[in-house]
Amino acid sequence: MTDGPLIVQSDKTLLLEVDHARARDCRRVIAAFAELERSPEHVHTYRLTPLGLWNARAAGHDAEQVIDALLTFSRYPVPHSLLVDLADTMGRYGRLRLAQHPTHGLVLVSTDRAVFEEVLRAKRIAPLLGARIDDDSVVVHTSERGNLKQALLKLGWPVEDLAGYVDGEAHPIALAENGWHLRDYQRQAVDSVWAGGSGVVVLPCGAGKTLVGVATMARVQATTLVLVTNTVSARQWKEELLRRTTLTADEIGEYSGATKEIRPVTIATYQVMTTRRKGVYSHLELFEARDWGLVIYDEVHLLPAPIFRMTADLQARRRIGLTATLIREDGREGDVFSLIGPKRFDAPWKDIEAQGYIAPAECTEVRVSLTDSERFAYGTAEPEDRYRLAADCDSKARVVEQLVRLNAAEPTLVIGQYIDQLDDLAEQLNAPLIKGETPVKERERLFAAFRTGEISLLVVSKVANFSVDLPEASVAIQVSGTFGSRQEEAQRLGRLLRPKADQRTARFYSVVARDTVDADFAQHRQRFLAEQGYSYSIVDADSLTC
Amino acid sequence: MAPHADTPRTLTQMLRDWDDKALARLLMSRPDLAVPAPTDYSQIASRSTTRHSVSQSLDLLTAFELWVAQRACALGRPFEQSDSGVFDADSFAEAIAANPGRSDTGRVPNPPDPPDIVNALDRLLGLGLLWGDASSLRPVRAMASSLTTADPETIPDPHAPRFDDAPHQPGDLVDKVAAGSAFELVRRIDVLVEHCDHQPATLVKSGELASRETRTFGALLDLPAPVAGVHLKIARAAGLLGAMPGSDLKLIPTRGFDEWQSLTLAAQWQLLAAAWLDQHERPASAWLKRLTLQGIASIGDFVVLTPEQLHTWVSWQRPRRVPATARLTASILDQAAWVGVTGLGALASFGAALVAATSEITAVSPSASEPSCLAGLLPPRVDHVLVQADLTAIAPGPLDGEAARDLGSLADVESRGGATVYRFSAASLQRAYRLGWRVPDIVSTLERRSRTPLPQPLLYLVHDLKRLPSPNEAFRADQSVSAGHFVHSGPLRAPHSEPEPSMPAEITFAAAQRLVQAIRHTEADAPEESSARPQTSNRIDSPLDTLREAVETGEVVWFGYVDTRGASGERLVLAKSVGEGRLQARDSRTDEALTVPLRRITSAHIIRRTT
Repeated sequence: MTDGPLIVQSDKTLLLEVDHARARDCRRVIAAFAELERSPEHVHTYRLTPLGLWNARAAGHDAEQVIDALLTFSRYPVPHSLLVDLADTMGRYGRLRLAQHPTHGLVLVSTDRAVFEEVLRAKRIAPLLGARIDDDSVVVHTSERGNLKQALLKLGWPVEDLAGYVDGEAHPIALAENGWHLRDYQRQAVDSVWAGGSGVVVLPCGAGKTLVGVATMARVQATTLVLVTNTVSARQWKEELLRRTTLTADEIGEYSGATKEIRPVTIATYQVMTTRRKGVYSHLELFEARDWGLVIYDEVHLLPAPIFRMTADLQARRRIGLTATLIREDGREGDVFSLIGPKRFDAPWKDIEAQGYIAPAECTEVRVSLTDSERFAYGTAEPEDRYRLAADCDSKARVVEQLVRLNAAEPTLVIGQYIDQLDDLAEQLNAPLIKGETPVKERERLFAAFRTGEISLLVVSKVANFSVDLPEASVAIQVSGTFGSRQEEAQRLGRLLRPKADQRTARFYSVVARDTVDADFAQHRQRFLAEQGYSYSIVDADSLTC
Repeated sequence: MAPHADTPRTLTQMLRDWDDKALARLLMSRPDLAVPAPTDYSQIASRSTTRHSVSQSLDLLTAFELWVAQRACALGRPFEQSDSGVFDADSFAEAIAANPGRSDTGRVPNPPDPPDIVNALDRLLGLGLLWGDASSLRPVRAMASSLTTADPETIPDPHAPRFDDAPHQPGDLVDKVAAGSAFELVRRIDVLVEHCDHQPATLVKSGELASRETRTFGALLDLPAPVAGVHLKIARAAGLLGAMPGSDLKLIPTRGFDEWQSLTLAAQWQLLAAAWLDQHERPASAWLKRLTLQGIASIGDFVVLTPEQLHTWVSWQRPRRVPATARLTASILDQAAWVGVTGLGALASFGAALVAATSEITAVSPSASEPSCLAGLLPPRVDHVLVQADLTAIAPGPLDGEAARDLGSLADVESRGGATVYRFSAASLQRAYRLGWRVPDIVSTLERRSRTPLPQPLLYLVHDLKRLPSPNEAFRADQSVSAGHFVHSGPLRAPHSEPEPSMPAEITFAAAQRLVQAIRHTEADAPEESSARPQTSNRIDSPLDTLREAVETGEVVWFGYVDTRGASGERLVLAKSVGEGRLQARDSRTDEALTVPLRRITSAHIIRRTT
């Protein structure tokens, strides 16, 4: 037994005691191959996953280093089976490689003939391959590079893509660092992506992911396609590019429902890219419209399935994915790994917070007791209707009003899922409402007014979950959510995390109906926040005082 | 080479003349001769010459010894004995050494040294497969018929295979990794048996675990179902699980489990590992497990051998018994790794100690024989947890019994290993409340157990329990008794069961010595045999023993019988073999071949040759 800070569990979780003298060293080493799952106050939990281990292999770490790290820092003996499993998993990466052959073009090469034969015989792989060159290599149809990577990952043999990237059409882009500078972690993130060619950067909301994308563009110096979640976000990207780079407005195009501009830097929304007319994706030609040197995927955890398919054809282009969380509610983390690239950079929220780049936050669950009539309605409702009944009950409205009064001096967002509920709340609170049908211009006007302090209370639907920059928002009141979605909770909290001018702590309230499924889902979501290390408390609505 | 100076005339006499040590060694090597306890030498001799017993003894021979045995039975060239099968050890060794035939590889090998051959003969003699002395050895008759002559032209190496270029692992690393697996084994068995406390394991009529149950245990332990099944067998073999009173097909924890839980982790592991090692489970039988591990140990400290190398080693040691492929060896190595006997493919120091001491282990043996180096590697027990804001409590080591019960009542286990992660939830707290825990009890228990301040959400959830209806009055009857204690008092336990015997008749050296003393005592009490032997034996042996002796000595035997019509008769014959319920012989006068069912033979006397 040693006095290490790490306890390795047989279920492949790693428990790191944060107050231990060697915790910092240990964290630096294990972060390369283990996914941080929870970071509450005393013991942080990391998990060893195949994707995490393959990410480590992609970054140049081998199984021996990983095992050595575990044995060095582990307080107790590490189970042999775990080490064997770990070495086996890591050994799977890189036995197959995609490379450029001088005469045959794109080829799949193997260092393990048995594995090679196994994958060649797989039904899903065979159609993607061309003629066999020799015992260890086979031609790959260029158009199937992405599909092959996806299929091989599903077979458990992730391929190392060494086939390189096309440079794309050169276009000068430089950072205009007038009065600001890239933060160290942002520079490290850019370096990691550049070294790896493509991959994903994970940074908390408010930590400046957009700037990482912008700096990557300046490094690549080529025409760039930026894919974002919605039009408001597209406009914010454009503003950011104009402010932070030497690009002019003429060089930046918007490709959305309203405008279809194709410029050296084009910002398109997922929505327009996935629009189908007569069963056909009518805007696919955008990917071929220019010889793009870089494709940026903002909020990569939300990437819709059709974009994945389109991305499969873009494997020769440099790609960077930006996100605050790699958790995908649809479980397609593997597709992100194989099609966008491995995770190249990750920084825990609390680390960035400790550096003062994002605001600290307090999370409070406010429990509301239903009235007798609401209780009766809830109890007699069909199971599928119960969440809706509990989530938008009238009792919540009174509590929201109380919370708004309690934080009257703070810029406050009221966030919800159900439009009827938000309509009522907006009316009751006499506050403007932004929802899906609000025109983009009107949204921009309201957001701008909120930023300037002209409006201090805004009711928003889930359209404001992502990519909306509201740096001054310091209180968020969540009245209903998408069931137990953890990434939604993280994104909503993310709206508050921009550092405040006066360094004040942000407050995130979640109003839930006691003894209902709403409380169960809320517990699931709140647990996620507590696991990230945010202080978290539960109070009764009755105990709130103005 | 022979254990005595005078040439014995019979196998029985040779055994009688052996010293205690040689005799005890024979009984240890061939436990079928010792069970049930023999009363005299003739019984041992009689048992030792049956085909079954001889065949079992041949299974103990190395490839080289087996080859020598084949030559001794004149099953292969170049050595031919006299008609009576008697041969001289030295002449035999020289003849074989001079003309050894071809090697395994087909090339003419270096001839085996005569001393190697003499050593092999010595071993055959020690096992009772040859009898006589160095100048007049003869094989027991059943040996020739039990041997095969697959390829008499090949000659095995007289020495066990060596693997000088096999890689080594650092000893401390091997011990560390093996200790990790050892700890896991203890933890998993604990979880499994605890599970059976709530939900008894169901067996099918054959006594095997139902396949559905195996899958359940696989899911419980996060292991493949067959591996989980082996865990359950280990728990049974170690006496931790036993049949539920009134139902032989349900397994519940025994009282031995409660005792086991109070042992140190190292002692807990030692019991489990010994149970695994001695467990006779098809196809990985106990002898093969032990031999495989001895193979690793014999090559050197912390050496890693591949399954194929080990299979080669084991195949040389026991060519007649070892399966043809290395699959079973690989499976044993795999089990040894998760049991914690090996780490990184090498035998751990405490694993080696276990293999060496295993024949001495018969029951629970706490700290006295606990491998101290293992104890130093395993996590110490703790009595506290770290409660966190995300409603988890981390026990940074295995919890002691009382703390584990407290936490187990109040929270659900989320992750196990060196540490245990508990998760509190409204549901887990409500469950405890319904079982009789009161809010002040919960708060005070958590405060006592936690090294960190209790987070507000947890306290909120605990105090929120007050809104629930009061639990059953029965649980409130005795407020002075701790609720946790109340819930856990007096669980149903299976009767204390001894660890299941794996090898039906395994004889320790001490037991063999006791047997020898008993036989010597009985013989000493019997009237002394006259040194001037009568022409016919006047000892009253069973006809079967007499016939077997006659087979061995090649002397003429008289026997009386009853034929199919009920008429009695008698014959003088040269007995050839006794087995499968029949005597095969030749009439001493007409040389006519006879086969007589043993059940028809009423008496038998050997007609001794006069000297």
